[in-house]
Amino acid sequence: MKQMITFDTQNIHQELQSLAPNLAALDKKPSGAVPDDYFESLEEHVMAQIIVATSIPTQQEELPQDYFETFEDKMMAQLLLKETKPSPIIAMPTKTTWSIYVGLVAASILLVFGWFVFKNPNTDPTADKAWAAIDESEYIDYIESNVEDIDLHLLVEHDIVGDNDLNLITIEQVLEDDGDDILFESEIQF
Amino acid sequence: MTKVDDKQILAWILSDDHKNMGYRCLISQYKEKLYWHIRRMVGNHDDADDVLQNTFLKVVKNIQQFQQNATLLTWIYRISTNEAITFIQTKNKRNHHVVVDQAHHLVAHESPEAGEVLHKLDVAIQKLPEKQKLVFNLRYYDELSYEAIAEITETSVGALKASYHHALKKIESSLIATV
Repeated sequence: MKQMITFDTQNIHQELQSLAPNLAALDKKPSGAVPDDYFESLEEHVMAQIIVATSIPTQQEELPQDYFETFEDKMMAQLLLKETKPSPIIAMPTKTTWSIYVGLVAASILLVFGWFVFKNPNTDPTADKAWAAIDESEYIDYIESNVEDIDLHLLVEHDIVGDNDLNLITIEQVLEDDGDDILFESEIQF
Repeated sequence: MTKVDDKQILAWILSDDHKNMGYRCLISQYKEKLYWHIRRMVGNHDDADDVLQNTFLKVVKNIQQFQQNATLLTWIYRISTNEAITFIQTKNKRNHHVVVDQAHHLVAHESPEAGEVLHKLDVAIQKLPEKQKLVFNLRYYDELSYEAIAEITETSVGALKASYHHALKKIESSLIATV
């Protein structure tokens, strides 16, 4: 610690006496009102604050070596990199693209909806298969054995069967005997 | 309390075992000197009390950085002076004036005439420029050497001598006019 003459009382008195004798004659006692026991209690008051101030640990994380020395260079390098590298353009869907997507979805929904709505509700796929498996001669045999004469009359009355059709002949006989001519000349309606 | 050498105080503070004892010794040894030094700058007890406590806290916080190329006393005086100046500047910004005790000399002294003279002395000191007032107070009231004042105010010894002598002449003229 540096050594010096801190207090210079004797020289100060001599200096004062020579330069300002009236001032030198005055009482130099400190004046001013101070609360009672102020200085006695000051030590404890300040010590309490010192203990609080010194007991709170100052957390200081250890920084990498030369962190602040190299920080500026790192920042400049990053800034230069950002300036030269173009930012990628992300293509957002345009209105046209969105319209196409919406149209496709709507068309799909319509197709599915239409298939459910417009397909023949009466079509029974299992029944179709059963009918297809039956031979035509069996149809004719069934009609000849189950349709009575009166039924035939009702069929004619309701224009379901024509008069000319009363004399039923098998389709095979027609085709066999007369071929295509009969098919063209007669009106065979079932 | 018997005066303890600054070296010893510093050694205690820097040790782990006697740190608190060093703090207590520091406070005890310098509290009155610093208090009156601060009070002459800020002008009243309450402000002086605030600045004094802040000074000790700042000394404790920065004691590890004390370079020892100055004496402990001048280092503490410098901190207290800066704290007082900062306080005055802050208060001036808010209130535009510093509250100064007006009649303390009349309370402290027995004869009204002595009190009146000392009051005039106070008025004359308050009229000095701030730097000159600081130098005057450190030399006249605290009886510090020019070298110590030079360390506190960071001013050359020659400039300090000139400033102090000039202040003495002004105050002497005021006292003569009073008498």
